[in-house]
Amino acid sequence: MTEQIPFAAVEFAANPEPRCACVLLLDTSASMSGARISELQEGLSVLKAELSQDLLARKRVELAIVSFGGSVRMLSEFTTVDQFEPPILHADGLTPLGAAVTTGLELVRNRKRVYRQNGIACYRPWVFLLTDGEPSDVWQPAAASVRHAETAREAAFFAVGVGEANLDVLGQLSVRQPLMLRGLQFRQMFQWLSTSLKSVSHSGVSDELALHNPTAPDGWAKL
Amino acid sequence: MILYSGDGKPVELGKVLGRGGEGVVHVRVGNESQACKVYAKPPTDARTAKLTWMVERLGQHPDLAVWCTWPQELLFDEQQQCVGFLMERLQQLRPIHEVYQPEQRKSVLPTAGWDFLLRAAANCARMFETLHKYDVIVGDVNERNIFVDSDATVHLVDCDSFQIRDGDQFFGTGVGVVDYTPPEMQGKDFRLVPRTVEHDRFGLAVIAFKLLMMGRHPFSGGASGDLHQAILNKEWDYPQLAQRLRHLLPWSVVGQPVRAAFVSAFTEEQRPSAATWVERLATFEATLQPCRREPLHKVPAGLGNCPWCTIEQVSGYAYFSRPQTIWQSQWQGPDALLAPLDAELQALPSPRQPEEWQAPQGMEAAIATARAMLQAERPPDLISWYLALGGGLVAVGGVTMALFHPSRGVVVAGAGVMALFASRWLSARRQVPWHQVTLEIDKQINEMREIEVEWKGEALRFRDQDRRLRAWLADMRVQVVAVGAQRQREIDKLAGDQVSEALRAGLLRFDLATASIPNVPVEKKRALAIRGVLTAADLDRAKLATIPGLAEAQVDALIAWRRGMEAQLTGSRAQGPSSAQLAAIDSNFHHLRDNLLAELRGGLGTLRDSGHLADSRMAELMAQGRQAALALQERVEAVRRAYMEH
Repeated sequence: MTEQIPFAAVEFAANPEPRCACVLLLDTSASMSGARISELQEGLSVLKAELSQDLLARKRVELAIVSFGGSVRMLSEFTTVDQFEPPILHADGLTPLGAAVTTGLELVRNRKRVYRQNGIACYRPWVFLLTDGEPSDVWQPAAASVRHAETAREAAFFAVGVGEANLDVLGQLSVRQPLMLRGLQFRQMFQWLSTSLKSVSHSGVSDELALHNPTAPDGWAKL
Repeated sequence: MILYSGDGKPVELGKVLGRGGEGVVHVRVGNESQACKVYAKPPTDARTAKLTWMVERLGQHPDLAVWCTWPQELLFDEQQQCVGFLMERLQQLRPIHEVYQPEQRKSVLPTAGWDFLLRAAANCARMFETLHKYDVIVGDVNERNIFVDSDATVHLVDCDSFQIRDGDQFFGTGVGVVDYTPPEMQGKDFRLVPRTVEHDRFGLAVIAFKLLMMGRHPFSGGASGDLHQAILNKEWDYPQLAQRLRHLLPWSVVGQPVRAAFVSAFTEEQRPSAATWVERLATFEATLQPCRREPLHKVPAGLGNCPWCTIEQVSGYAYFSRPQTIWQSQWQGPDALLAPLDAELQALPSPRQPEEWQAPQGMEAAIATARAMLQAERPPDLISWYLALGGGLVAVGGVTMALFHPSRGVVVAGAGVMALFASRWLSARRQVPWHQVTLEIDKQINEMREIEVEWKGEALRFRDQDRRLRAWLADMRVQVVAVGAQRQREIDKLAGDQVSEALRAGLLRFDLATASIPNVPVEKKRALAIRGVLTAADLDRAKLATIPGLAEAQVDALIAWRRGMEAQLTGSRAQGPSSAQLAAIDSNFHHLRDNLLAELRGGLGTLRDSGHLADSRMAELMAQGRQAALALQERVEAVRRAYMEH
């Protein structure tokens, strides 16, 4: 049999660094419109800018962006930071949170498979959920998937609520304690995310996450 | 800020070179080749003792600091508290991860082949060998501590984390990175378990492997994808992986002794020493030869096919640049090229103006003399005057004689009258040549006046030609300068700095006012709106360049935002121009500019020739004038001699 060459090979030949996949699940339902969506948009640029400054992180961290407002949409496929362009967000529709979480977990699972096919080492992927409302779909199966992924160390799941987000639901979705964003401190949140991703992508691959506490008095989150 | 060395000499801290978890590195004011590391928190007594030991040891073994930023002197604050140390400052070096990662290496070290990478690996081993000789263990081996110079020499930083054992004294490292940690240390607490030289040898082998095998970690590719697990379980399967993944360098390409060293380093606990690596890598490097097709493809002698060419064919990825694509723009502004031409142009004088006419030497004097002579009364003709006088006297004598001898008297008087008539006739006859003389002299004067007219006419003609040539040269010069802008436009077009027509309609939908663009605040957006920049479709560099008060970073951010929008419209990100494309643009515009410069040079030549022609023509006319003046002078002299001096 003549072996086929997967197209991805070139990207991993050019850059064989271990990868840290990170999916951002961003709530873009109608309730996010106005200041929230524009601050969030700004936050994405901050994330890129901060990660770009780190020579190793920019080759190792891969970002993908999924929005859920009305429907679940893939806004940006996995790409290393140096190639990443923040997509433009539009707030509209309901909050299909459950479907978004399932999509996010699916994405990291597929991405890990691509890594494995290409002999690329990887760090535990991150799924980072941000929402300001109540799920408008059935989210319980998604919660089960999150628990499974966490137990199998397939992904680390983080949930952050904004404004009137239902912390109860987030608490049941996430194995980790969900956090509430203070005001609209998206910028600070993404700075924290970038610092965390940087330290993950520098530490040993399996190091337990030793992150700055975002709920410190000067942090961006509250419990 | 001022700190003090051990002997109390002040050390002034300059600009910050870097910040790390432990502290800040400054340049030393007054000695740019030194840097000062200042800890954020005062170092513990143990750390101070370690640094003191290191400084003392350097005194005995100066070679410790050759390839390391080894502490050279301690630094103290006003309270005599040790707060940091002095070390060598590294400049222009690249972290090793930029060198072993293929894509980045191709851009930062485009001419580096596999031999360069082998040499860097061997130099890395040489550096470890020196340290191990003095029982110094690097401990925290990782890709951020090692720097590579453009000549493949290697330097280590963060030397204060080295592990040192000297008799009873022990100074640990306390930190480490999983990727470079051997199986027996995986999961251990680096603060509690001392490192051994074997641990360093594992880290060194990983570094060497990454340099040789195109940036791949030797244990990357394990089933779980997790390096910790893979190293711990010694899941070292590169040879198999390279059979499956055709973009990897086949294991057999690496020389057998080097292969054996890797196998032993990754699967045994007795690992090859730094000295072994030095010897084997150097021996292997000596066998490399360029492949027939690509000079940067370095292939061990005796290998049939070039493995790099094969990888390019089967995977489409080139691990090394092709020389023609090793491209760094040689484009320079036009100033250096135009300066000598400008100087030459300036040095070329314009021909003289008609008003600058100066009569040739002697001409005016000759004319004046001639005029004066012509205006004077005609000189009397002495011969006919004497004849008339004689004739008159004879006639009077003849009349008087006729009173006594009438017949004789009449004859004599008749002869006198005859003589009088003869004198009239003679006088009239001698008048004709004089008249001619005056006509001829007039003619000569006129000819001389014509020389002046002609000189002035020629001056006018040459001035006009000169003016037209200079205007043309100025126009060419403008064109030469404009080539730079044309080239930039062409590159911008390739780089998508201009809005592509196909996407314009789509881009109109993206409103600038509601977009969030880093560094572009609302006021700036208003300023843009006033000038008609309202949507993504309005964002091209040429347009933005016309808007005052827009920083370069803001222009970049706006363009980046537009390109993000384009990516959304097309679902893909436009690739930047390749170096081959850029090189082609440069070559085209070099060609164009060279042609223009050649024309400019040609024009300068024409201008110079025309100047010479003008000069010689004017000189010729002047010479003619001088000749004519001389001729006139001679003529006047001759006439004067002929008519006046009797």
